[in-house]
Amino acid sequence: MIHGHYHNSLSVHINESALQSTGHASLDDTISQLIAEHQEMVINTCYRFVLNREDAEDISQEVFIEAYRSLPKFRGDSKLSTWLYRIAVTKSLDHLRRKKRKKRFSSLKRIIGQEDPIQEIQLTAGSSPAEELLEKERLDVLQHALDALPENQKIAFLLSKNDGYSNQEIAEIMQTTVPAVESLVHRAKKSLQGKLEKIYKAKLG
Amino acid sequence: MQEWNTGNVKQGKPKENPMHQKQRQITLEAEKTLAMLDSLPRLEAHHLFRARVLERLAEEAGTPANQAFMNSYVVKMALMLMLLAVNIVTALLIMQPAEEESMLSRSDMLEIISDDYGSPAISYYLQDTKQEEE
Repeated sequence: MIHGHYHNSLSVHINESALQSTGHASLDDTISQLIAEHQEMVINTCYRFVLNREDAEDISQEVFIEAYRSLPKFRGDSKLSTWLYRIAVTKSLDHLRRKKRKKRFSSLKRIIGQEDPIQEIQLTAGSSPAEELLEKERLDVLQHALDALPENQKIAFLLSKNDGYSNQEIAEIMQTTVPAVESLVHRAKKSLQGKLEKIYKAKLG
Repeated sequence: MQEWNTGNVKQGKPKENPMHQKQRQITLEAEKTLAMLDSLPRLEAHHLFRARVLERLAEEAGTPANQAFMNSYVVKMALMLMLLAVNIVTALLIMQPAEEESMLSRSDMLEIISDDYGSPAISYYLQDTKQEEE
């Protein structure tokens, strides 16, 4: 039974010296432990960026696959978890970039009269269609405002919204200092508030 | 409480400026939207998540090395260049006989012209004109 043990395995510490070993079995064990320990944190990190559960799970799979490929190259400059979360951030940002490109392409298709059959519909259990619509609209507005943020502000702000990260950890992931993270988060909040107000001003105008 | 409210109305509590009211609504909407990030649910990994990742890793490990090599960008570029070269060579080969054909037809034309002008009728005409000139 693969599932069900990850909570217990939180105490399991990956022996980073095991990474020096070239044996395939030890690499497999390490990745298996890594998944068990960090799957939820990785999924939730990706979720804060992409705001979609399915996408977050898909990206998280990619994160662990990338980790598996790059594990032999891991030099141990940072904690393994920090390195893993950095991959998660990079993959999430890549996904957002791809999505942006796709969106631009589908709007172009709409202009020339070819409707895109793939439309994202996200449903929240237990809410009325009107509430769902409102929620989706808010999420779209939020995503739009987030897209307009500079990348480092976006990363710092979204990681700060994830309960699991301290400013110290965010600084390690971003390879910067804690005061820099605090400043980025502050500027991101201010900028987001301004952008959102601008959007609603145009909407309610 | 009711009396207090009525009193307020009677005293003519200053109405909020519609501009301020609108701005307040805008700020409120922005704050509500921003607060969505705080209220995002904490996701739990699907119970098959680890199994799926391990399965994909096993698949990847089982992939032959040459296939991984084939997927690389450099190989794709090399194949595209090779395809382009093959296309160019084919185009040249197709065009060459056409050129030969046109060369042949040109030589045919020359032959026809020389036949026409070297025919006895023309030589007779040429002989006649020579005699007239003399």
